Amino acid sequence: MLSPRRVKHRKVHRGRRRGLSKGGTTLNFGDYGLQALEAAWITNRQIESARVAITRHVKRGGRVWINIFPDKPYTKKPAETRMGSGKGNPEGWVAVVKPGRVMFELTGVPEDVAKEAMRLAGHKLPIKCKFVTRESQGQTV
Amino acid sequence: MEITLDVKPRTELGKGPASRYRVAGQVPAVFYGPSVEPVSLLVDAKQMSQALHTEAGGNVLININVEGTSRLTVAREIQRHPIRGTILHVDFINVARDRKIEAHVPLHLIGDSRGVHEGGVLDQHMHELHIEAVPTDVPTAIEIDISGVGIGETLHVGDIVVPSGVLVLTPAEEMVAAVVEPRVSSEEEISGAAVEAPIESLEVPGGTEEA
Repeated sequence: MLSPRRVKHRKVHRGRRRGLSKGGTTLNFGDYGLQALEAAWITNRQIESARVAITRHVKRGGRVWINIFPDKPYTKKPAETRMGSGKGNPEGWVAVVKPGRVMFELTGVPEDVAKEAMRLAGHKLPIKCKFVTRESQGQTV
Repeated sequence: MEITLDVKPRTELGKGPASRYRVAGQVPAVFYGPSVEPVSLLVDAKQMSQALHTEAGGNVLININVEGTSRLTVAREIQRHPIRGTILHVDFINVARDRKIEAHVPLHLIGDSRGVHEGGVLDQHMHELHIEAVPTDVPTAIEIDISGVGIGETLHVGDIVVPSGVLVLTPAEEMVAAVVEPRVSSEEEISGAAVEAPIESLEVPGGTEEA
């Protein structure tokens, strides 16, 4: 599963998820992609689950790119703990995703196979997603 | 390919008015070029979208009427909404018929690759070619025949035959496409059995950090 090899700070602030994605909104590597329509923290488990869903459906051929990386640690306080006494313990890793971000890219398969693979992958994520192609994004085809 | 677009000068500038124009179905634009003063413009969103959907794609030559004079331009820096895909802003760059311009032309792979018949997978690395030509010589697309490419073989920019009057600016050694062996995913890769490193074991530079 994806996680950073080393970090500068074990715990970070939560931040805000306002606005649209600043970059990574177009297809760069593949011919098909899965674009986020909402903002969310996507955990490394969800990314892995979506990747497995795509790989299983595509079977052979095809090439998958993951354009998001879970580099933000999130913390959680233990169960039945009173409030206070500092920030909780690191629990996992998330990628901050904002609307417009192309999270997965795929190539080397027919469009119908790619669409179904991305639909299955989208069901593993906590947000609404859209299937995009180079043509639908107004890029050169 | 050449088309004519109706444009209006834009007097109100800034993001507030620009947003109102977009709601009203117009696209803020700007016209500029060598030795001409920049002019802020407004274009009909529908017409602009249609202009960019001809066979010439983004390299279509657009005639716009700026302050009573017709100007030959190309649309560049086309900004789109990241989700809706609608056009947010366009730059019209003044071009001369006899002066060379730089353009990105789509690359089309034609033919059935020998390697694909043998079970390989075609991997296209480059989708457009950076070229230089006079505006009327810019091709709508450049086609490359891939029928002779076998498994493990690659096509480079240097292999592309371009029409006369077109100079390729992309380095010749860059790869355009390759036919590779099909990647059969291992069981571990498919099932996602890779183990995650525990968070406590992560290295923090400069020793432990105060929680």
